[in-house]
Amino acid sequence: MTGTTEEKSGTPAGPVERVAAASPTPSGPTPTRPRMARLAGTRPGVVGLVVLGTSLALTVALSWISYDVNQRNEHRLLKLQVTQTATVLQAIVPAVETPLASAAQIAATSQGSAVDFSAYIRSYLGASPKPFVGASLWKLVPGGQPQRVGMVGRPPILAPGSPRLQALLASAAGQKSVMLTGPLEPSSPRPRLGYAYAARTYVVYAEALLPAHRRVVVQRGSPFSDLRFALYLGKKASSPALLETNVDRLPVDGDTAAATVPFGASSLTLVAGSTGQLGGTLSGALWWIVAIAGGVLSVVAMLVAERLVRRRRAAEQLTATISDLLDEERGIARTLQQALLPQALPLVPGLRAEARYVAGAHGVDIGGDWYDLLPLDGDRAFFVIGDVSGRGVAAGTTMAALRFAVHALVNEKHSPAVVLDRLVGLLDVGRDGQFATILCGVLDIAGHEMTLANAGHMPLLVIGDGDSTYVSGSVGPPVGVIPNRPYRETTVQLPPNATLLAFTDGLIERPHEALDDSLEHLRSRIGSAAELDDVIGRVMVSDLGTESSDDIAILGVQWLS
Amino acid sequence: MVELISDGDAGPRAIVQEVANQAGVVTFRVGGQLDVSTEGLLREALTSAVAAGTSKIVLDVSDLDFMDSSGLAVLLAAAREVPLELRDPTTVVRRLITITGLTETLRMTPDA
Repeated sequence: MTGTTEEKSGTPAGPVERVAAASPTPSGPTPTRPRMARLAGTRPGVVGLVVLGTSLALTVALSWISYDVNQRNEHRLLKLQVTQTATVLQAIVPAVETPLASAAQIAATSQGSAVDFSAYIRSYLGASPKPFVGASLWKLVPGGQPQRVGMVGRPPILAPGSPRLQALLASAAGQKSVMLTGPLEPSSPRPRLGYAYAARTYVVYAEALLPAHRRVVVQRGSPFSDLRFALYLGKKASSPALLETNVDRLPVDGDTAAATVPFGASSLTLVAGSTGQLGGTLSGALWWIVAIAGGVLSVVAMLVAERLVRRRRAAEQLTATISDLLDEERGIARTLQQALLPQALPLVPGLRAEARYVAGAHGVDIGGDWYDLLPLDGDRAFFVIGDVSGRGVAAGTTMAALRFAVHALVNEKHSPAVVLDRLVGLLDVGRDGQFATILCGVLDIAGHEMTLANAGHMPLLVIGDGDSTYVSGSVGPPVGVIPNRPYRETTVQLPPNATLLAFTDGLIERPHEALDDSLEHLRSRIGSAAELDDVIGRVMVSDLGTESSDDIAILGVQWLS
Repeated sequence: MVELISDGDAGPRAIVQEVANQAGVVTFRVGGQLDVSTEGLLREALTSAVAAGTSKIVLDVSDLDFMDSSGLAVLLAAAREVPLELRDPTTVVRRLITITGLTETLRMTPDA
């Protein structure tokens, strides 16, 4: 929904190098990783509005479709109903045609007997439900005007000599069914409808009443009861031809359908609209049900979307915070590590010393490597380098404990082997899962001699006289492995200007390479370097620490004479 | 039971597999690189073997290419509890144990 970009910047989590030297070298500030750039995600309100808009558009579309389908369906049903209702009208035909046809037949048979005609037709005249109010019998005269033979009931509206009547009678003559004309006197309160039926040369003309003002009130249960309709004579819905309607204003408004059906020899046209829902209430209400439900759902979707975006942003912020905390922890780890190591090696007359610390490429943990150089009285110094197995706070604190214990023991003027003996109780591999390899020794500066004790640590490299060798002295087990095992000391005589290089295993341990090969590689890399700076420079190759996850500590000491 | 720590495409980084368990002696095959990132694998295996009352643990380390102090710590901790034997150590492992003064603590067979 939202696209966020995270950028990481700052220094890569590579090796961090630390320098401690007898002549204090200004070390640059530890680079701190800038806080992770946070790019603001899309605001929840905007997302909510987008969702709301989309959802509402969908709702409107669905609602419109429902409405349209309903309209089409309604129109189809209306058309069907109008056609059916118009067909029902045809059922009236016999009711008006039969008496007229019979009367005409009687007249033809009786040679135009007005008496017989009157006797028959009289029973069909009168008020509703009688079909007609008045009837007359006409004889067609070839080449002349029709002659009225008899007349019963109310006088007709159509005058005997009127062209309209003449035309009706003439056209009825050619038909075998009833012909209609009307409405007659449409503006009068009771307009009429004229019927004509011919049998041979006799034509019966009758008039029937139309509803008052052509307005009808439809009774319940009638086929017209749920229609707003207008009935016209002829094939067109023209207002002069209106026979009856149940609406106040014409034409019939709204959705209408029209049907024309034959009525005798004439036609009737029914135009009607529906008064209610033909397809059922649900069908008609569906569009606004969809609209309301869709509207409600849209609002819910908007709220849910906003909530999701807020939660996502919260999660992103949490991630950023965690990342920041991790960075801080990494920084704290480094700070702690630096605090635990000597800020600067002490200046010892007659010696030059330098140290390096390279953090392994292994995240935030503190390493357990350390080194120290402690001046002693009488032209002597004590050096130590150690490595607590494992990483993290446990290794760091053990390292600190060992380091300060060494300080205390050296202060009490113990020899290297005794220092190691006394450290043994401080940690136990069975109890703590940790052990420490430690190499320490006393340097006799004037005497060019050193006394070493080694608890499982990497051997000391002695460089001098254009050559370098590892000291092969007695090596005891690492501190913490075997309780109460006395360490032995080795005393080594050194050439003038000798350089000692002590280091932890991170410097030389490489997968797929035998330790002896690694030691030999280191030795050959240093080659014939005589000065301490040169030695350190050759050790600190550029890819140092990138291959190993282990930290590296290096301590170099050179006799100045 | 085989436990692996894989290094992605580079294949397994470390493998610890129990190959025999007879008369209280459990034999594991330990291969690959045993360092700070993989030592947990072996520690779990050895801890549960010790907890199960094993009387002796044999580690076939003929395929163990590399071990650092973290791996060594696991071996030393287990060796505190039960006799531990390293069978057919590679030169790398043998030298590491020698250089750290642990030849008397961690028994290697056959004797060099």
